[in-house]
Amino acid sequence: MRRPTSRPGRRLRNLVLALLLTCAVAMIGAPSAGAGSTAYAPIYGTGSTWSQNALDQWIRDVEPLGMRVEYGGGGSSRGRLDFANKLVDFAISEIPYQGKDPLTGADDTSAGRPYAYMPIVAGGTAFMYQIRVGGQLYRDLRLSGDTITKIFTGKITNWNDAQITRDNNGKKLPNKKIIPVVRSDGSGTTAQFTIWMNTQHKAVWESFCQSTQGRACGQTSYYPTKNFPAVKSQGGSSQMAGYISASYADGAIGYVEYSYALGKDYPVAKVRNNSGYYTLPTAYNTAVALTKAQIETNPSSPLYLTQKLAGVFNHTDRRTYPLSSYSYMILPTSNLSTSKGQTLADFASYFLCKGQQKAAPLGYSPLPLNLVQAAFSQVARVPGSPSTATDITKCGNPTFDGKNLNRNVLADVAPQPLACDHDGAGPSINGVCPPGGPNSPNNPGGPNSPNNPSNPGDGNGNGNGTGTGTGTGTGTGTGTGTGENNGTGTGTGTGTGTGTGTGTGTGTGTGTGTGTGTIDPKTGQPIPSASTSIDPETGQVVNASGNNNAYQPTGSVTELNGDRGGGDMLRNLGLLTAVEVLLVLLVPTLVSRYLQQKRAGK
Amino acid sequence: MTVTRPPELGTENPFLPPTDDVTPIEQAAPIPPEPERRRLRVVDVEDRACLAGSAAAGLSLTWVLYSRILPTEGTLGFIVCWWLSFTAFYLLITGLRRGRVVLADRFAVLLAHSAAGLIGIALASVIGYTLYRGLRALGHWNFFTSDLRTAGPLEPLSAGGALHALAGTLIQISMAIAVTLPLGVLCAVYLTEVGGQASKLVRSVVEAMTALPSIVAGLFAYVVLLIGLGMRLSGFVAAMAISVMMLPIIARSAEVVLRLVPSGLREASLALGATQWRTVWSVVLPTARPGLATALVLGTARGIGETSPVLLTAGFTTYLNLNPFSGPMVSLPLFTFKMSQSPEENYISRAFGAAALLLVLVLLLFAFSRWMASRGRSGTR
Amino acid sequence: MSESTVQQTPRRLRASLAPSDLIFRLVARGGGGLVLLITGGIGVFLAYQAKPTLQTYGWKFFTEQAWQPEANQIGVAAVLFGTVVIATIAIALSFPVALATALFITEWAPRGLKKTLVALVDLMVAVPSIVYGLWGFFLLQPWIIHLSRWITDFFGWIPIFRVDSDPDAAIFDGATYASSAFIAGVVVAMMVMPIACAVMREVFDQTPMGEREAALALGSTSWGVVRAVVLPFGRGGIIGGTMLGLGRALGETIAVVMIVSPLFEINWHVLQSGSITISSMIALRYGEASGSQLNALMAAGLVLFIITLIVNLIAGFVVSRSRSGAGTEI
Repeated sequence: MRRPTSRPGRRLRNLVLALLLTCAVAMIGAPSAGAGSTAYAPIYGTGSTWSQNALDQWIRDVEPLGMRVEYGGGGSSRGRLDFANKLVDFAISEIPYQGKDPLTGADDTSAGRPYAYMPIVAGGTAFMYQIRVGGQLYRDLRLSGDTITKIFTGKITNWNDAQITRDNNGKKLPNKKIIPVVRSDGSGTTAQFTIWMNTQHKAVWESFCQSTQGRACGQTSYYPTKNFPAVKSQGGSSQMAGYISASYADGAIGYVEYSYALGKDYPVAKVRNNSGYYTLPTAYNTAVALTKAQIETNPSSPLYLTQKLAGVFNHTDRRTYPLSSYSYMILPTSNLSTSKGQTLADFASYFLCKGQQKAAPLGYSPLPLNLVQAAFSQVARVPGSPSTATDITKCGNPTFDGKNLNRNVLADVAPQPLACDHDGAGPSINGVCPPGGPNSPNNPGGPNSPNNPSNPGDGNGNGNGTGTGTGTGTGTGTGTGTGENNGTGTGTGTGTGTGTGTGTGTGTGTGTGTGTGTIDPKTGQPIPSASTSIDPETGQVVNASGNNNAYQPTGSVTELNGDRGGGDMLRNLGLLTAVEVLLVLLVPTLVSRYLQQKRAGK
Repeated sequence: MTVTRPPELGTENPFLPPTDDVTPIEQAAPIPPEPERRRLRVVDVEDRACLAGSAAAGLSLTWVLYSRILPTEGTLGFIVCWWLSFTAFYLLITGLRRGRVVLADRFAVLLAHSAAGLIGIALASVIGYTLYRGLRALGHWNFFTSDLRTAGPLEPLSAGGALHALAGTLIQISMAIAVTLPLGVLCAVYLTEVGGQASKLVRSVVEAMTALPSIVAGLFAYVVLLIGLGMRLSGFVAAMAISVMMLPIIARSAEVVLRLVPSGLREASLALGATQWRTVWSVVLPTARPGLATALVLGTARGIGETSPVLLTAGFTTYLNLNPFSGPMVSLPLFTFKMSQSPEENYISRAFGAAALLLVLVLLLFAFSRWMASRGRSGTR
Repeated sequence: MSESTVQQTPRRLRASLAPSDLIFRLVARGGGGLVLLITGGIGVFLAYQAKPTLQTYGWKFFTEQAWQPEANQIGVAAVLFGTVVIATIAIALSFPVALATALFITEWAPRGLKKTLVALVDLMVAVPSIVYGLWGFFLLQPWIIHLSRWITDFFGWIPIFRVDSDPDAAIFDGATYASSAFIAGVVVAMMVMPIACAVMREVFDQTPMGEREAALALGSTSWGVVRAVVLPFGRGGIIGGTMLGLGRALGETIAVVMIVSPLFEINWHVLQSGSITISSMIALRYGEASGSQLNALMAAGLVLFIITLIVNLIAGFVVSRSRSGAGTEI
């Protein structure tokens, strides 16, 4: 039995007191700690995971300035809803509020909370994939829009499908099941992707929806997965990236912002644009594509600054990455404390200007200046934002032109795609056109070549050197090309005239753009702008000579390895042996035991 | 080995939903002295040899068949096959040497040992793996002293940490305790000391609510506090969600503990002229103190490890936030969950670090509760 | 304190309550009432919130598989199925192990080890589910998919073990086997096992010594004692413990969220990726649900709560009705 004492009672009381005190201290201590440093107040937002990488970077950048921005991600639909529920100070979404859902009547509105849209960054929705050939990641996948749509609607289910092979100019991928990965949550990335499919490949998309969902999907934030058993769903971009890069996900492909693939160092598919080139969602290509984005320019419209992307999808510039889009911040335009408004405004003026410099390295694309300017006008509507206008020209935005704010410098200096990234050419190996492939790159004319002396990166050299129009133009084209590229290398350009000798020399030299000059002579005919005729040849030649021919043999080797067709025999034999061993072990024991017992019985 | 020793006062485990209310009553009954137990099994050399021999035979047979002859591979398969063949050999030998009765006995014993071994391995792998993977992050002191505001996915583990999650966990759980402990104990006092017509209803409702899935508790807090009352995502709302989940658990286990207090003590106190209030405060509660503390600590361990209510209500932040009433506040489980969703290796390491921290916290709480329980028992006798 | 007059009651001792007692009772009643309000309020609130959904969709709410609020298709058939499947797998896996371990601890464990073992099992109950989730996702999953393939390979003729993939395919199709209900079930089993084991162990411990000794005196082996005395005596504990574990398994959220790939369809192929449970659906969808969708989620939550409640009630009933409780007072 217990001795009733008052001591334990006091202990109990002390315990409770201590707990209460802890809480009280926490409550009192916190505001003073928060308020001490600056006039800024912490702001909190949720929403898109598409642009989360950029946002997280900016948030870390402004942290030393005393701004405290917290971002929870969660998907665009979540962000819009949280904003409507007044749970957050701002939200990020790729698509604007959709109003009323025609089917359910469920609201997708801000529930009366006043807001404004503001573009924050551009980027490309990339198709990240994992295909392993001989244990190595295959990095040069090219896909046309039609193929992508068919992959994500279950029409194409194997990587060795003829259509994929055709997209890759005859290079056959291993026999592997395609695992399409989609987002399970309400996602702006899904919305962008389905908008694209719904406008560009409506027939395939609609027939898929009708057959599996029994209705038209149109554009949706929720990928329809009903009756589509091959698909895997993941919630959030980083989970999708994680799934695609998982050890067991060989053959997976999914859609995320380019930055996620860059972060994981995983390849993304080059997507075919309207002019027949397969392009990556680089900052340049995205910027080029978005020059055709139709932006709502009426400031009084609630959709002010939102995008219509049909022009982007169909842009004929060969550098276009078709699935490019802007991401938007939803700003509150009332009921926000001044200190929060201040924080939000200062944060915005950071990322609209200086922050945009970080966009490209992360895998996004900076905003053009006209949008930056418009965005500042939206920021001004946030209560508490400083009234002083920011001088856009001193902004530090890398797209700055100086004369024409509507022009995006990035789009002008964007390098031309590799010649071998065209339909029926290539494919390029690790971002370089196959060396020594004599015929390949003569087709593209680089009309913009003089434009980019500033960045004569590897890819550019090619574009330039090849010169403009095939037939006659060669002379001039090569002239410029050599001038820039290779002061050292082989004098190449000169070789163009005829000399085959130079041609070979440069071929081995592997200099960036060098291959270009040589090629013409080898064929002897500058004609082959009709590249299609040559591709099959090139494909073969490359495979035979180049180092890249490793792909096919290994592919088939793994298949052979894995094939257990002949293994049945082995297995049966093994089983027989096992049974025999067991019998040898057991029978004598049992028999002797039996005999023993019999004898004992007698 | 022991004779039926009723569970000690207050070791009622709140992780386990209520079993029955009858058993604890007997706690008060004097515990009979433990009779010396007879040795039931005599293990002789032959038995040991039989065991060892079977193991060796199983190993060699498995090696021959599994690794050499059959087209099979894999460590797991090897172990399973070894176990199977070992069992077969052991049973065979036992069957040959002894009768069928002994065979059944040995088989049962073997199975029980294997199951216990399996659980042991499983537990060891869960704890060991978490600590092992967590070591990379825990090895850096800054993991305990800084938050994640400046550390992105690519930052090395020597920058940024989980201080904010640790602080958030402690603040949230303190608030939850501050709410649930008085309420729960008060409710338990009401049920045991005051009683009345309504107490039956209260008791059954409280018991029913121990079945409330934690995610539903979170959803409730989300809908009522955030959407309904227009609060913002904050530590306070998270603490309320945890409280909603913990309250029935604590109330119920506190009631069980209070009911164990021998009524003789109460009557003695009342007979001495103490008021009921005095009796409860000076006799009942102090007597039940170790039990209450154990119940509280285990309830806390349950609340501290729950992710789902916090997931819905706390928001996510990388900043240290000590104010539970404003701004999002993460806790260790939520931090672990969010970090583990990232594909980045460093974030995953941080997730494991936070999980290991959480595990250590729970282990400490658990050890504390054991200590309390044992102290309480030794003090009474 | 009831004022009803009953015959032969002892003389009332208190003429009037002291003021301190009045306050005390008031406060205690208030506390009880508040707890009732909070806990009962949840149930009432859930039911109230669920009502519009149940009214709108009626029985279709229980038969529709899809959860597509945007297409006006809302039903819990698939999530309920997933919940039950994962819980069933968890119980099927954990029951034998928990039972055998409980028996081991009570019957065969070395004397000095017993206390430690009991503590270990209790400790396993206390390990947070997120830790099990991490363990399942990072350690178990990459490894158990091979077991999944093996099962498919040999038992694929049983429909539920079939997988829409060739187990002999050239390249191991891991993604088909990952994120499946089976793996989630294994992880949940890890959580359920100690709960069931602890309850069983407690009940087995209460087996009357007299009956044990009687059995031994009649010459039974230790297994004989278990079979003839411990198991019949502890039947209530076995069933009750399992049901309690089931209750926990049904409500488990975070580990399931971490592992399964959400699929709003009835997926009989438990080894194949894709499943969903009510709790994981709530965790995944709450953030995007407004208005009627939130109501629908509450309705799903209510369904889960009622199922868990029933399971727990049955468990409590079985345990209290069995001899296990009463037998201790020899």
